[in-house]
Amino acid sequence: MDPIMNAFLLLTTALIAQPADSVRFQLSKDNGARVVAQLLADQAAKLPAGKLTQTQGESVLTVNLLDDETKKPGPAMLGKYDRDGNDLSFSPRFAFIGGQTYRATLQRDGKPVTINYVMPLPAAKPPLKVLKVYPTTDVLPANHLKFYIYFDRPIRGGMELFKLIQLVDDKGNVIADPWLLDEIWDADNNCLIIYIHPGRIKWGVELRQLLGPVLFEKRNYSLVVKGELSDPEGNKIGKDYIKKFKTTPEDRVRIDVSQWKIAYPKAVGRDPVTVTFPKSIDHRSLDRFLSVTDDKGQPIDGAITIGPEEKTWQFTPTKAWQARTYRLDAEDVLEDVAGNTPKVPFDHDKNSPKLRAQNLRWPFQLQ
Amino acid sequence: MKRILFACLALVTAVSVAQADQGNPKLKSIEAIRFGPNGLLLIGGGSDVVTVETGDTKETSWTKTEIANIEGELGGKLGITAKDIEIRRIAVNPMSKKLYVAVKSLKTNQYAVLTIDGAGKVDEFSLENVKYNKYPLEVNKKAVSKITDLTWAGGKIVVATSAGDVFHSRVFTITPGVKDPFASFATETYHVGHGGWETKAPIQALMPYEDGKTTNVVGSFTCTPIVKYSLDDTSPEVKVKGISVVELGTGNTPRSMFTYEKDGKKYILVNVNRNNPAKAKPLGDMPSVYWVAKVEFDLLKETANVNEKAPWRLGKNGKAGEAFEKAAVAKDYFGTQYMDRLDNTRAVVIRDMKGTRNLNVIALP
Repeated sequence: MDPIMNAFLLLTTALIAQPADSVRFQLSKDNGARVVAQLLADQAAKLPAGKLTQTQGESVLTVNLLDDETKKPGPAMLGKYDRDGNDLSFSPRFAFIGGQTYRATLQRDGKPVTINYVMPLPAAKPPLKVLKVYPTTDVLPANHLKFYIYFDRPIRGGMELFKLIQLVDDKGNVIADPWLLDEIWDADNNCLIIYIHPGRIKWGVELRQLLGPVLFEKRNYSLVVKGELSDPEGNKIGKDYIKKFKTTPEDRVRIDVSQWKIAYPKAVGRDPVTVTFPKSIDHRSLDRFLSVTDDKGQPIDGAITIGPEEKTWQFTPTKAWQARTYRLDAEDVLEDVAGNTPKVPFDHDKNSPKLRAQNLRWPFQLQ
Repeated sequence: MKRILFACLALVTAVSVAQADQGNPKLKSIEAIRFGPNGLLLIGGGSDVVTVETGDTKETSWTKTEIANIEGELGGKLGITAKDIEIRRIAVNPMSKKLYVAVKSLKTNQYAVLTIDGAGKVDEFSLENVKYNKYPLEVNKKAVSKITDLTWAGGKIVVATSAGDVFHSRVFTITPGVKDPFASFATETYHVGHGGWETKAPIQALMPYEDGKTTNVVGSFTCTPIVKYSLDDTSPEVKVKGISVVELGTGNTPRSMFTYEKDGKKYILVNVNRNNPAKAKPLGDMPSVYWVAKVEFDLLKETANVNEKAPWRLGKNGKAGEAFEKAAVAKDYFGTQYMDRLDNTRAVVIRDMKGTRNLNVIALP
């Protein structure tokens, strides 16, 4: 905050907050805060004890956010009012934000008693971190579909994200409008799934005709997560995170599972099943859509290990294999990095010749 | 009349027999909100659909016609600035005419549902202690990761989803009050803009459509075809083939839509945005990348000129297409990012006015 404005606020606070202790902001141990006001006895008697409605609370105490620049108060904030004797407390619906200025106004003896309060900034956290980006390979087809960016904590969302995550070509030019503007998070809110706009990948779509593809073959690119990207509290990455990759020609064919190399355990025990792929497969797909079952299709417990560049998948059973038949199963929605599946290529024209279904079950017998 | 009354009673019964829980549905996120009958709030967030009995049935009369800087106003109520609040969706409760606004704090990643009454008073519809039903959506025991829109149609909640980590679209129906309420199906849709049949692109906006014989939903996709799907022939194993009836113009994404009647004629109002904001030149004489199409409802009844023969609003040369008049631009609605029908003559809109957003109550076009 501007130091002059801050001094002005403190001065006005001192002048108008009389008696100063009749209304105050009270910090709690969890770095939150509430407003506590001391009511006159007759004033308190007119209010019910315990929880008050918003209207009842606002009749004597209002709390407002002051505009950063104009310092004008916004509307009365929503929150919980609670009367305990002559004390009236207000806990905001969303916690007060560090660095913002709030004003509490208590009606006392028919006169407003006002106090301004700058919520202390929370203790700075370590810089936000990009933990990993998938695909991990640095060679991608020019029709690559999506990136997974794993952070060490939830980040600040909103449309701004799509400006702070960029694709930059080998001349340092930022590619305009590469993304599908759809904020997709995993269940833990730590992984952002960001799609290159399918309209710039699919043939015949206006976006591609108008702007061209996002990536061209045989070029070098960088995925840049800008240093300004922050967590909700404003802790930034600080330094740009850069993933460099080069492009191959577009991959517009479905996954050919006949090219997978499957190594089965040779005997009972806990040796893994290993599948090696000729190209990178989407890591989430490997986790979700490839599994080992018994001969009746019931899943077997075990651990999945995904190898470098997402070109190998290994399943180690929790309990030793038995002398019986098992099955390796793939689901037909499993995707490679260009969104192709064993069923169809990503950009599939329904009028093209029908593709024969591939076998996606591989039984194996252990002795 | 008797038949309508019976149908209404059946609907109410179907809703009320669903055993509701009391408490906080604990939603991780809010992506979409809409209303069912009797003030039943439908919320879609993450992989969950939650229905909440609001009990909000007393009608409010709208005298307020504008709230300038609506994000500042809503943010202020939550103690955050306009730049730190994100409006997710809006929905008018048809029973009370109160506007419900789903918002997210970008400072804390928390969500809230705020309400605005006809006098412009902002309050919260608290989800802390409500009567609710929660419906987790999953395919093959795997949760879906994104709900793009939902609506109430023919006694069912219809939910459009995408899988998130695979580019995959699926539509769910939930029938409240029955033992096994879930059904889901894939869709097959002709995208008029690029002349291809799509099975993966997610539906972005939904609305119900009942023609007296069958129950349908109307969906719209990025591109932007408007497509009708029958809910009467759904099956998990079969793709429901849509009927694309009009192409609003490639390079757009629909945001929401509703139907209304004016001067004895029915229309669909669809608000969309151009897809490529950095390079998007608003088409023709449009002053904003956010624009609204007023589409003649009778296009939904079309059976011959559909899919490959569906009419375009604009031809490939950018000039007026066959549907230019039947899918006209609503010029009073430029800048509309969020909208819902308020009553028979008015809509509530939130419009982008060169950087700030204003809420307006305006006449239906």
